[in-house]
Amino acid sequence: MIWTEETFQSVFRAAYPRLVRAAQLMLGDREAAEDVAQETFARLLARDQLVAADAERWVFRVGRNLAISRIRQVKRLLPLSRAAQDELATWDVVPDDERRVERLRGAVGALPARQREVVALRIYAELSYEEIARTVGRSLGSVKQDLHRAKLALKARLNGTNAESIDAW
Amino acid sequence: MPGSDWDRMVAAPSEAELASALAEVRVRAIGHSVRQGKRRRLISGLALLVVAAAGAYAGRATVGLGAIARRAGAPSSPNLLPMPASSPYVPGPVQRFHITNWSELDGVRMNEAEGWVEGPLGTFFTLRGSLGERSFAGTVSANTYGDTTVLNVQMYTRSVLDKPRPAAELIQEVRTGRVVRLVRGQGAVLYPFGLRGQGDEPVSMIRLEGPYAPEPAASVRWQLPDTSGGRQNSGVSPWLKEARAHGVRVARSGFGALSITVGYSQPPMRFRFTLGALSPSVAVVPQSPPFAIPGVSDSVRLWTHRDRFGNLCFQVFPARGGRNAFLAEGCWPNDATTGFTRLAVTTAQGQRLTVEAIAP
Repeated sequence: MIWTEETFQSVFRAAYPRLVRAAQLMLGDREAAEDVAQETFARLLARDQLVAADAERWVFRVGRNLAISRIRQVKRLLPLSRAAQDELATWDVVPDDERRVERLRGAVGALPARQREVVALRIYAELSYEEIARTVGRSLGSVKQDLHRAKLALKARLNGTNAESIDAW
Repeated sequence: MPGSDWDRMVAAPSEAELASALAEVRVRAIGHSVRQGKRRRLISGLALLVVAAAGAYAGRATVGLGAIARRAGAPSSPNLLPMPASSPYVPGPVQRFHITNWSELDGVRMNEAEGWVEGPLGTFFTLRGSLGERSFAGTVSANTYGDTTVLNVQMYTRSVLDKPRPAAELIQEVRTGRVVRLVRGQGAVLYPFGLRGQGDEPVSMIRLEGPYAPEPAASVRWQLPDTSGGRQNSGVSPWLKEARAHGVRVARSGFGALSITVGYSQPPMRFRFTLGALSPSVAVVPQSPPFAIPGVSDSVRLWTHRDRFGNLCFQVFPARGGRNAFLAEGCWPNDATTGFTRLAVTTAQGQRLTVEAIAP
C-alpha cells in the first residue's frame, strides 16, 4: 500500500524531531544528524506504507543504523558541538545556564558510544526501555544496565548539578 | 521528559526546518524509489523467466516468453482500462511567443516591430513582412522536449525579378523549412532574405522566442483574431476560427511592418495523471516542461515516443535526474491506441499512477 500524504506527514512530524535530536547526540553534529534523519525518512517514503507505530520503530532502527554507519565512516566520534564550545570561549562572562549546559555536554560527550546511544534514544527519541532494546538489538537488561551506568557517570561528572534532568529519565 | 538543559543542548527543529526537511526527504525518496523499482523489475523479470522455463520444461508451454509477457504485461507495463465517458479535461500550459522583427544596416537597427502570441498548446502563427520589393511569410509552431524547444519554421520568400510591361510581374518564390532546436529560454534569429542584404539594402532579421517566453515587460494591447473580414473568395481560415475559439491572442508594438496571423491546431495528445488516492491530477503534454505530480515529485518530466513497433510509449522521470532514472514507464500497444486511452502503472516508488491519454 502506498503512503498517503496525511499518514506520512503525521509520522514525519511525530518522529523526525526526535530522530534528529537523538542522532545529534550520537553524532555530535547537527548537520550530520539532519542528513541521517532525512535519509531515513526518504527510505521510509520509498517503501510501502506502515502503520504509525511500526513506522516509528522502523525509523528509529534504520536511523540508528545509519548513524552508526556514519560514525564508522568518519572513524571517530565527532566532538559534541565544537562550534558551541568555541562560541562559549569568546564570551567574557559565561552565563550560569550556558555553563551548566556546557558541562552537561562535556559529560555526555565523555560517555562511551554505547551508553550515549541509549541515552539519546531515551531522552530525545523518547523511547521506552523495551523499544530501545528492540532498536539497538540488545537485551532489555543490557539496555537498563547501560542507562544506569550512564546516569552514574553523568552524575559523577556533574557533581550534583543537572541532577533533576538526569533523574527525570 | 528532557529538562531545559537537555533542550538547550540539543534544540528541537523549528517549523521551518521541518518543512525544509520534508521537502528534502521527498527529493531524496525519488532516488530510492528508482532503485527499488529497478530491483522489482529485475525480480519480476527473473520470475517471468522462471515461469517460462518451467512451462517449457513441462512441455505444456506452447506460448513463448513473448506471449507470456504480452498476456501478463512486461514488468511495469500498463493495465489497459477503457477511458471513462466523462473525462475531466485540464488544459495544458499557456504558450507565449515573443517575436521581434527589424532591419539592420551597419549595426544600426531600424523598422523595429515587436509582437506577442499567446494561447494554449497547438497555437501557431504566421509572420509576414517585406523589405523593398521582397516579402516573406513564415509559419511557426513549437514543441518542447524536456529542456529543448523545437521551433518548426515553414517559410517562403517572394522577390520581384522583373516587371515586364504589360505582362504580370515575374516573381520568384523560395520555400524553405527549418527546424530550429533551442534550449528553453533561448531565442532563434531568422534571416528571411539571407545573411547579407542586396547592395545597400539592410539585412532583415526576425528573433523568435517561445513557446514559454516571458510576459511583455510593458503593458500591451492584446487582441483576439478578427474573423469578421477575409477576402470574399477565400472565406475566413478555419485556423483563425479555431484560434479565436481557443482564446489565442496577439499583441503588437513598434513601427515596423510585421503582420502576425495566429492559428490553432489540435495538439496530438494530452495526458492526465492521477496518482493513487492523491489528487489533484495534472495535465501535461508530450515532451512536457517540468511539472509536478503531487506526492511523487515537484519536478518531473514526461517523455513520449513511438517504439519500433509503433507503440506509443512514455516515461516519467525526475526533472533533475537523468533519462534513466524514470519513475514510471509504459506503452500503449499499437492496436489499442484508439480503443484504450487510459493505463495504470506502478511507479518505481510502488505507487499506482494512472496515465490517461485525452484525445484532443
